[in-house]
Amino acid sequence: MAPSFEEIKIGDEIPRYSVQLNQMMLWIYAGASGDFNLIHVDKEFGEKVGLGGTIAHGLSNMARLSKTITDWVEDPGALKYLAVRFAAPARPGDTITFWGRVTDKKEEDGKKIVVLDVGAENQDGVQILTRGSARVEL
Amino acid sequence: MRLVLDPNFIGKEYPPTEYEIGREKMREYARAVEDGNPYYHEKDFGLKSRYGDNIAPPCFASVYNLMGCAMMFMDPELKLNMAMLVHGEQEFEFHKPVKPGDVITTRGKIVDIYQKGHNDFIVYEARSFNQDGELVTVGRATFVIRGGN
Repeated sequence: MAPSFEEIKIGDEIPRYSVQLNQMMLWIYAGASGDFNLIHVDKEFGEKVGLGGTIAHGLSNMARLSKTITDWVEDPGALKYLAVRFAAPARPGDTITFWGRVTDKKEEDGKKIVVLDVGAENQDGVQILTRGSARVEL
Repeated sequence: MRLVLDPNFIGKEYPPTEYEIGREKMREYARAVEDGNPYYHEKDFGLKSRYGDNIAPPCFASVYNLMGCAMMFMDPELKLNMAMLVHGEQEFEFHKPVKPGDVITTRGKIVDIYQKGHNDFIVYEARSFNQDGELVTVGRATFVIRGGN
């Protein structure tokens, strides 16, 4: 069930979402997005340019963060704003956990607005997406 | 002395791009990030929803809103050092969901250029409109040129 505006409290955590990445997922995202930059698809190239292998598309990490929020509100049209910094790469083999925490709720011009801090980290606690901010209108 | 990006390029606009939202393309994008939301995938669910059809995942904007970046990357006047360029930050304002059949026109321009430490930063803003002229998405992408351009 989607949360109601009345039930939501500042400080609430939304359900976390974790996923272990593999190279096939990076190839599939490349195909779906049209971004075939070699740093995402070619391990040898990634090693040659000093990345230690391939890295996931930053925007795929952002899309999974978006999924974490829209799985919570259910209606994806409720998401009005999402911003992140791509702080560190996510790699095949990494388990990435996406999270969100309510920082504000308010009613403005008849709109029920919930503001969240959001982000993602890997299995070692390295922050992948930082300075994340989201706004939903319920 | 290292070369820096010329702030005079702030305000430079690129020709608009056009993209038609395809039901299967947006679903393919959703599946690529394992997002099974019925608003994207189930036709009957979409038809009965307040949108009257399926809608695209918000971050499908990565496809239609950021298309014009390629022109900036290849801009012979700007001469970005693509080998050192990374996507540092991304911001999306979602004003209205996009649906299959929508024809999205996006206008992109450079809105900021600055130096910080050893890095150069360039901010690309893209505004996407649907076929009715309604603003659907604003994207702001910050690219970092590591070690300066």
